Amino acid sequence: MNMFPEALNLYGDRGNIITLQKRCEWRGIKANIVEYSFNSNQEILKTADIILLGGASDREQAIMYSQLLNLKDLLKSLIEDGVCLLAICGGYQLLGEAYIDANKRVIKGLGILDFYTRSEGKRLIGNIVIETTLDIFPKTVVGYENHGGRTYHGFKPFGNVLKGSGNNGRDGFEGLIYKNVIATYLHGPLLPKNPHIADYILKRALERKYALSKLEFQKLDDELEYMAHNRVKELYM
Amino acid sequence: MRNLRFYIAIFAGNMVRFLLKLLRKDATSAPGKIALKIYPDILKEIDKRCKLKIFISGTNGKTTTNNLIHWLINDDKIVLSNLKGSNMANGLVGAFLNNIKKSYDVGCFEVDEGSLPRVTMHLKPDIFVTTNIFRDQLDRYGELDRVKDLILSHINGALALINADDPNLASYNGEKKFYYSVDENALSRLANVTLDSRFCPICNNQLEYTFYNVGHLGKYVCNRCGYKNPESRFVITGIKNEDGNFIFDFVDRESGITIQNIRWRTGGIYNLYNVCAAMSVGVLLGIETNKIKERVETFINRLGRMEEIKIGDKKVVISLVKNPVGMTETLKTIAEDPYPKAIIFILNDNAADGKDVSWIWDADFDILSEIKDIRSLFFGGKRKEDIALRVKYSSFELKNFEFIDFEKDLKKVISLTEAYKIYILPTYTALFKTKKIIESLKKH
Repeated sequence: MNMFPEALNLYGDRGNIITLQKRCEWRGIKANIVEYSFNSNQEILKTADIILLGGASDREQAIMYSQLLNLKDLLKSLIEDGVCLLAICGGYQLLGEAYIDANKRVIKGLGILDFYTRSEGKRLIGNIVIETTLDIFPKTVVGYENHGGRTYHGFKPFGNVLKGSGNNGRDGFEGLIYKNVIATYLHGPLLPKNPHIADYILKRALERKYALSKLEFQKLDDELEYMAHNRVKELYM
Repeated sequence: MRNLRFYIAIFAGNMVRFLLKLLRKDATSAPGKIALKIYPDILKEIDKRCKLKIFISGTNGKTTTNNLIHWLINDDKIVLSNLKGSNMANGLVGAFLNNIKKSYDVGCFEVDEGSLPRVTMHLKPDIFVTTNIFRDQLDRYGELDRVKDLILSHINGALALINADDPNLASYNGEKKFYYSVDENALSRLANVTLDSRFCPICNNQLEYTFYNVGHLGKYVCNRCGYKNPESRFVITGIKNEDGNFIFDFVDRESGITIQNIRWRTGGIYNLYNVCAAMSVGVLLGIETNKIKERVETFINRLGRMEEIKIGDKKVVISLVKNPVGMTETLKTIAEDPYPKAIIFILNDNAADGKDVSWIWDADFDILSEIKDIRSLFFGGKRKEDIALRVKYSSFELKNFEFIDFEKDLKKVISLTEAYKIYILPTYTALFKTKKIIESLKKH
């Protein structure tokens, strides 16, 4: 389920949904892409196996906020129930309690997870490479970050920063893992050049949907994906 | 003393230009930079020497529009213009160093959106042409709303020529303004995936569209507050598409001037917006209609914007691609071409290209599967794997392709391909190298 794609679609993050869709298609798995929009019925969210929550420009994010606030309780119960949720950048920040902007104004988040984000000085922009905490191979994840906010939390991070800034440019952590939620600052977009993350999400979603303990997944030819992955490491690590 | 510094600045700038030319290096930016260092007020000097100043700013189409305006007026007016697309303060000063005169009838400048604050401090436009606002290099310019504010707030009392089909620009509330637009035509689309902006700039409601011409340029209405395309003074209408040429009429609704059956030889609907803006300026400057028509029809693009170059019995077409809408429109234009073709994508991620290459995912690559007779496909540049991967994840079936080191292999690729047309789609920093290689082939 793609949340408000008309607004939350910054920096090529559309590529994430395309990647999940294609990787299902190549394995003969039927994927229904549902766009959750202004007029959508809340009930439909309950049918989601994977939810994508992207970021947007400040104005568009403000437009979406009131819409998302109505979904807070539902989203929270779905997350507790193990739904796969990929939150990128602004979407990541929204999951937290608050965003404190440059003028010390507190902008409330959805408050689903207990953390906050603070605006501090210059934006953190550039190529980023992290080592993920997920039990998958390869360990590296590559992307591009571009955020003004610094996020602080006590959850398990998505990864340790090898090159770049990550959550706040200080503690060396990037992103957040909670149950089947992956929240991260990585654009690029994240999934095409990190097919192991894409497959991790698909696998968890299928295991949950069909109550499987461990799913054997058909391997795809990912030569091109890893060439692009390795190029970022070669150029920027 | 001031005067002396000015002359030293001119001298030093020209020395640098001379040396760079001697070394066959690109000399569009460094000479201006040196001159500005020595004499920071040099932009004021340019301001003084130009009787009328025209600015062109916006995301896409600046270079083409600027060159077109120059082409419309340069035979009977003394014009100073940065024609090569170098559009920051350095580039403007560089153009001046290149063409120093005591006074100019017109100064016609394309100005980088991000450079507007600095440039307008000293150089005051009389006419300000806005092209469009799309997402472009978010790592450098920031979000679309910021760019909109940047452009509209620097019009600063100039007579504004506003693209009525861009909902963000059309919300400009200055007093002195005229709108221009392009009517619906056979290439307009009812749906569009490359939309950077979907919300009403007045009330934030989602806009409804009757048609899209380019990205979010089209006919829109807000069902909540009633915001819609303002009535345009200048319109391109009656558009026919014949074998890659456009034939159309230009109408000035205020004066009643109509110029009919204008033939424009370059593809791409987006070009019609550039043509419309340039013709509007021509009319406002009182250029005779016959001449406007003749000039538009004889305009040749030499700057890598759908530029055609004949190499032996083949045709090379170079089209700069630098943002999602530009890429999408280029692919749409290629889809109109029936000839056997090769396509070469060159993706760099240097500062001037935008270091963040994720923009390629916002472009509509599914159009590739509508393109007829692709004989071969090549990927080059620093991030060639990224662009190949983007194609792999489109509806086009990526089977046969090659990675190339374009600076080494471009010549070979062009001579070996069996295709009649070779489309080269480089990003900004690859454009100049590509052009150099192609120019050298032309000489053989």
